[in-house]
Amino acid sequence: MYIEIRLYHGLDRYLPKGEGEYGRRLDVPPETTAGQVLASLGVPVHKAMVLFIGGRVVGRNYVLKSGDVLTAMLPAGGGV
Amino acid sequence: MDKILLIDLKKCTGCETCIDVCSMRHAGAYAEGTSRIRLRRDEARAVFVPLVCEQCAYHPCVDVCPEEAITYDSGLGTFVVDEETCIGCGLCTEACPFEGIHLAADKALKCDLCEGSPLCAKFCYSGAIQWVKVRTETILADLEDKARKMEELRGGYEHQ
Amino acid sequence: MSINRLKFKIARIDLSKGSCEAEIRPQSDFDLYLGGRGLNAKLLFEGQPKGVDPFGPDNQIIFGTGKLVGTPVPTAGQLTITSKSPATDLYFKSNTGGAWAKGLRRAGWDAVVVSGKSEKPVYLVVDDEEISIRDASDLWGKTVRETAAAMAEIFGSGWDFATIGPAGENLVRFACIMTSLYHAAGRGGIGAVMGAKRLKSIAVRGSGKIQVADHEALQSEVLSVLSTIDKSVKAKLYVNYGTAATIEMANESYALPVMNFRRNRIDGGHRLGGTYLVEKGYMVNGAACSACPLACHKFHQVKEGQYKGFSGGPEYETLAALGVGCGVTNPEAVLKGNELCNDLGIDTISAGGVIQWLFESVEKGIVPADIGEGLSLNWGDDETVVELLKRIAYRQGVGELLAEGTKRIAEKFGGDSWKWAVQAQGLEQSCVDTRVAKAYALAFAVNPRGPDHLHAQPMVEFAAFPEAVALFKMLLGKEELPPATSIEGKPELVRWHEDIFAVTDSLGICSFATTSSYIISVASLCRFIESALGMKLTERTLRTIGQRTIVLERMFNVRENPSRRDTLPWRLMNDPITEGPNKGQVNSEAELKEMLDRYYRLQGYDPKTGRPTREGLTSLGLIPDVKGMEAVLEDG
Repeated sequence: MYIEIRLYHGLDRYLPKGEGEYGRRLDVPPETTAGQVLASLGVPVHKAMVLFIGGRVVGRNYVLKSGDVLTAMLPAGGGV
Repeated sequence: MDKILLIDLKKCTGCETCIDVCSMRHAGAYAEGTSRIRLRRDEARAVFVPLVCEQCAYHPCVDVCPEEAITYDSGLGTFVVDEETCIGCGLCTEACPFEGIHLAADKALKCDLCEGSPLCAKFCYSGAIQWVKVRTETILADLEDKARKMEELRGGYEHQ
Repeated sequence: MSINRLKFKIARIDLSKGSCEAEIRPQSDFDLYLGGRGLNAKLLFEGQPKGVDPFGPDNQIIFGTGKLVGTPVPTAGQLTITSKSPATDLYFKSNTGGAWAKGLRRAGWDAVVVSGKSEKPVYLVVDDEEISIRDASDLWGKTVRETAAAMAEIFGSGWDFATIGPAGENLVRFACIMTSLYHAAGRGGIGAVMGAKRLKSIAVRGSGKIQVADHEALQSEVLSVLSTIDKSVKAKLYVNYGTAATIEMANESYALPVMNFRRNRIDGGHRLGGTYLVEKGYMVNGAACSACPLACHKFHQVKEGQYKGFSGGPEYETLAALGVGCGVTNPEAVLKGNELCNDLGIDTISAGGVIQWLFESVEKGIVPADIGEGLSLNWGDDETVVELLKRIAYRQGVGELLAEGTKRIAEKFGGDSWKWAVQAQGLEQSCVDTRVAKAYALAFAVNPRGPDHLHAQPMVEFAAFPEAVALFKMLLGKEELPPATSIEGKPELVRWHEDIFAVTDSLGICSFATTSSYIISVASLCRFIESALGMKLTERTLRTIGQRTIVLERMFNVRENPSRRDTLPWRLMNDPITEGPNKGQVNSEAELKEMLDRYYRLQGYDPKTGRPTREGLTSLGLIPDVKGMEAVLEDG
């Protein structure tokens, strides 16, 4: 099934080669979890990393569905 | 001395913590004039240049001093100014291509490497000042680079 | 020159009389308020009656800094500027960084209080102990950069300047004061207060020394903080990306205020984010405030094209207000807009807010489209946004109306346009969607200066990083963070943050250190205070001191406008979110009231009015310490 992955804050260096700025379309087996996708790209485990599906925070064990957009970044926040 | 203070201009953010800790060590208070390291600020381009003795092999300050007040201290591993002998003429400050020596209260002040553990490097978070082993080839190239940049900036300040 | 560690030396300048006087404050001022923001608030309260015209001679403008400034305590470089705002007609404090505050402290001063009004343009010179008033006719009309260049001709290097641009001179109600080419004391129009006094700039140079009680302990604590930064994900984000890293965070989580708070995400929004700005090579360097290792203020360059040039900043708020808020996703345009605001002296948040109001009003037919005199006023028109900033600063064309701010321009055009004037009490809301962040919602409502983030910044509710979890556990005894959309525990969160924030501002360090990135814990702060000033304070004492400032600020507003209520802009309270996982969320009256009720109870305020009580004021010592405080209660 196809999902989209977006990586920011330096994690984007783990994106596979391809088109698009910080996103890539990936073909993954059904029942794959968010954590497994990140591991397959070599993204190091980081306790503070924030994962979103469609804007909602999820954990590494979240089971991906077809068409999901998985975003991973660091916990930025706090403006001036 | 097999280590040197390496200045990376690209990393300096202008926080001036180096100036604070240097002046506290050498003059017992946080101030600017008594620090041996200073900062050139080109705020318009956010370029900040730490000015400190670069421990040149060819030391023009020593050569130009009329009183021979600048001599090598093997314990510290650098040239030091004898404050008794120094007459505050300022010739050394003109000779130095890096503005690494300056006058304060009619005496020439320069870096003495803090007896082998320079505080500026210790407190520099951005890594603009590092206390590193000498690698002759790269050090010479870095120094040339910095001299060139100083010329450029000096030209820039003229127009300010 | 000796600078007494625990007594404040302030300068009182009366521009009407042309006089400068020095005053030494009693040590009780330090014990009760610590200095900076706290002392400023007391001086403002005591030094003017209620009801002064913000543009008149009786309105003071106070530049105060803290006792840690001038030492290498990390982030010790903050200045607080306090006055009555021409946008809100209420209490206003604004903070800024750069190096001006350190110059003031090294000159031997802790605060400069300016009152009166000069007939001709003037500037102040603080040259160590000597203060003089000089003619500024040649400077009036110059932009901030032009002024800095002219001052460099006169003074040479080693000076810092707090300057207004044309916006302040032209009394734009959201004009700001620049303490460098790109450090701004923004919001509220304090730049216009300076402009009304015909005060162009304050030049400062300090050759003095700062002594501390125990420099070895202080410096050892500094090194400890530096090693904390290395282990902190939050802090490293500021080091590597600055506040811009929040843009992609908010965009991806549908928390970004887009198009006047009608949308929460925009395609291409990530182009205004920190990752993009760094990867594409726009970011050049960090420009640190005094003693700050984070250097979060990032300096950018656009190398070619119509927006070519340098830009000091922009920060998250600017990227949101002038960028995605206006439907713009071209980073080069926002870099340009940001630089214009620096140079003209305009607050970016309010500028973006009023421009968004304009775009929506044109869309809805309340404002005629030709009001732009050739400019197309549509969402995403980046050239228009840039051009409007110039018109605002010089009050040209539609700029004349925009310069009055969102509240007043909506009143002028009428209809339903007040509903999308995203402001409360005259201040445009900061670019935080409080419908998805309820602690922020409460903080915005109780902030004495208006719906703005620089009062508490309860960062913990947004993301689960270790410091956040630890803090929440300490405050509520819970391991699990309730979601940002829940009101549970939020009054407790806000109270801790606003107290610590106030103490931070009063000591002259940056709120990003003690809140937001949490690299200086309260325990660490106590160690800094002890090693720098020889005073042993506990967290409990610090919170009381913080409380005192919070309550004092609130009482200024009670005196100034008894009918003022803690509230949020109409849109945030009535228009629910339309997209994303938080669809349907709103800052409803009922929800806000529930948080306020609990907040008032915890603060010891009157539950009906939300006002501090006589008992509360007395127990904090504000009665009898602050002259005129008791009278406010009698006026009822």
